[in-house]
Amino acid sequence: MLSARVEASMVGPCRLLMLKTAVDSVVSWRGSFVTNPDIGRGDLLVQMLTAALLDKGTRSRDRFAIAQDLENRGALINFASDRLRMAFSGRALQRDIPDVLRITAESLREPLLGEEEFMKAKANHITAIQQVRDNTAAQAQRALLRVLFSETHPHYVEPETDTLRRLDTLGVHMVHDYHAAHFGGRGMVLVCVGDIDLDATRRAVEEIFEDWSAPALPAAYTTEAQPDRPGQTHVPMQDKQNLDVRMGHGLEIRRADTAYIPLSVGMSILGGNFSARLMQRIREEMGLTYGIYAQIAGVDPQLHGYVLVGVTLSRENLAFGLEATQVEVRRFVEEGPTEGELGIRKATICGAYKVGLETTVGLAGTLYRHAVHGFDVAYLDHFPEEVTAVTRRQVRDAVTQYLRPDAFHTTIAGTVEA
Amino acid sequence: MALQVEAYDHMGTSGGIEEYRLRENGLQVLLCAEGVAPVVTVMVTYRAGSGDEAPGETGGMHFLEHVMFKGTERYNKHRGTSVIDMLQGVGAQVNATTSRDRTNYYAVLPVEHMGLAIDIEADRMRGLLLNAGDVEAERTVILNEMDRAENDPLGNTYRSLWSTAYRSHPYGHPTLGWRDDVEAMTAEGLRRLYDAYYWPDRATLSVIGDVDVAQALRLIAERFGNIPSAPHRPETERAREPEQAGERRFTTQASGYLAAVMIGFKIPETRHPDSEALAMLAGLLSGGKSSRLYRRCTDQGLTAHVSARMAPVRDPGLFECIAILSPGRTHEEVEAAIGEEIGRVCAGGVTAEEMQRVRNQLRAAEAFSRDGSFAMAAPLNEAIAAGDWKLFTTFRERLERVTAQDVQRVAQAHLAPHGQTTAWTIPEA
Repeated sequence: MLSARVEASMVGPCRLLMLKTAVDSVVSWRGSFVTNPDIGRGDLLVQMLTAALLDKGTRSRDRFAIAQDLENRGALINFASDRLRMAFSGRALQRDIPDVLRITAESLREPLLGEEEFMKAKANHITAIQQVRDNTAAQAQRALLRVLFSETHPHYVEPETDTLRRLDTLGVHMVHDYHAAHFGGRGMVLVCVGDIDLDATRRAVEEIFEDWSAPALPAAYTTEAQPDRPGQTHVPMQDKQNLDVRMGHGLEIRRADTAYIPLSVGMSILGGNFSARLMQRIREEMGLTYGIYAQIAGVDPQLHGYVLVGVTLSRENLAFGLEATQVEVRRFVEEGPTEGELGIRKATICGAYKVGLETTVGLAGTLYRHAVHGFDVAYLDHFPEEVTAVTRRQVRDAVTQYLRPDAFHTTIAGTVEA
Repeated sequence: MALQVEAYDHMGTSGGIEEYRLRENGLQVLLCAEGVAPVVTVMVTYRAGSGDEAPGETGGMHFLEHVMFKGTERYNKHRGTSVIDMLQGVGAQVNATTSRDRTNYYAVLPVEHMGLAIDIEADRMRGLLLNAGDVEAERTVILNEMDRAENDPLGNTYRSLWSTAYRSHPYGHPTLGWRDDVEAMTAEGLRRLYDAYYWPDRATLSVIGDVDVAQALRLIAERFGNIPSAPHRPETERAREPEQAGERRFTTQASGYLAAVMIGFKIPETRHPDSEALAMLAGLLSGGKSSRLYRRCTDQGLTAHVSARMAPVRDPGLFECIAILSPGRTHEEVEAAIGEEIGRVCAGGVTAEEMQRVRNQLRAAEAFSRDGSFAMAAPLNEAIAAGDWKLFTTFRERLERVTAQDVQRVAQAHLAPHGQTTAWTIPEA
């Protein structure tokens, strides 16, 4: 039992999970804490800019001193806004772990948040938005999320023109205010995996995070998806001969619901990989696409997520491809999976889970996700058992109840003739 | 310690990897039993890629890579035993990729299923069905893949950078091929490529992970041992690229929002003794926030992204500098900044501190490459493609010998205007 080897403890506000593996020298970690941004107020943009400034210097060292300290060890750290959380991760050699965790904590707790770097972060964000505006997959996905969720839901993404306009109005004081109000050890999780010195790491975490308290901060967001809005939205883009299509609807379950695993298994049978029904039918038999998939996305302990079908189509195949995809999804809802399909899919999911635990990054990521989703450490071993126990009836019931092709809203991004 | 197995010659050991050669047909086998979890990567690398395509058959190796999943007599969809179904059915991560000098097929899977992956790769090495119906069905898939690639203005500029830099050598055509060639590709054309390159003595089988070496060698000998070696040499000889005699330059104007500058300098093949110093140079220029190009371009607000790298290649390749401009910045100032930083290296050399930083980064990167079987398989694959798998295992040792003078010398020798190709992407929003 892998989970029996995980050392779990509370260090101040931080739930610390450590797992020593046989890999030589390498340690990977993932962590986060709850920030509870006010989504309707536009906090996510401020949170993203704050994340971009965390490695740009602290109150005691400038950005170059920090970069050199990390790069002289070959260490990597990363900070990212993850909707309701601020996430951080990294990778380093065993001997450097305590020091690199100290740099991580210094960056999180005492960032400089300087004016000059703030202006550069805004410029870089504009470039990132331009990349999104050039990308058909991103445009189709973002248009769908705008339909499925209200402006106060964490999955909502505002139009790029709105973001560009708001960027103009933001000042560095807003980042300072956000850091002061939202950063702290609230709901903190830290997972370290690899060739780890358990005692040294625990001592370092005690030193840097034990006293990092944070007052309660009420949630300021909607958790439910919008009511179904079947229809079609086009996102016109010039010179994009390949079209990206997304179809979906809101999904009124959360991670702890009993339907979650059966529905996940069902969606995997429909569109989880190359062997799945959609790839076999739409790509292998009909040759209509390079890629097509189906999944449930965005479901977590608090939030409703969504059903998502994605397909890429050349312009001349658009109408036929849309129709063929709809037909295949409907057929799956009507028929459900066969016993054979279910058996193979369960073996696929369990095998892939095992493969995913091969690396320190994979293990840390899995332990981290389970912790954030509210599971105890034993779930590391229990998850495959849960998948194996799923019956065909459970999958059929979940698919029938929650997969509604008639409710699909379809977004199409690319050069589409009017 | 290497096992002496009757069917093989043991060719050597490096970096924990054992090299064997199947006596019967010359198949190169690389084994690394270093896994820490019950997982293995099985990978076949055919030492042929788009650089081995003749004019008129561009995209053929990539097309063949797709068709290799259509199956054999034993592994095919009609029997319910397609390659993908069999491998994904046990949880394998399965994929294949084509590049300039190689085509690889791999599965990362629970170790108890290693035999399945070996059996499939052996079976399709010479047993591909390759019928016209499969080729037709796959053609539209590939054309859609090409449409996807052409959606990306920066990707288009990057492909044009290589096709401008190479006028004779096949590195000049894209791996996906020219559209006319892909539209005209036939099953017979693919069969010709298959029969030219898909033989055991033109392939390397790598098995990496928590494996029993004796069992792996036995399985490989059983399944690959009866395949004959190639009956003849490939007919296609790669054209030699004449020495570039001056800077080439072009501009692409494309719908979109992103502006970019891309520069390629002609450099020797990866096996050349200057390669380690060029790798150090790439690290010094863009490896992290302390690097020269980051500090000059991104930190100063000229670029949102800047990188310098050398693609691993069997024949003389390109040292690439790629920059995405920040809003309001001009191509002229970004190109000038990159040129000035390269000029500073050429004129003033590099410091001992910079050399040490890059060495430390590369040491850590080497340790990270041992974290998981595929983390090792990916760079090993590129070393095989470049012509010698030991380029992967000896990389760090060779870097340790590089001096600051070496870095300055290779910058002066290779990053010069006469071998330079420069491209600008100008957006038309």
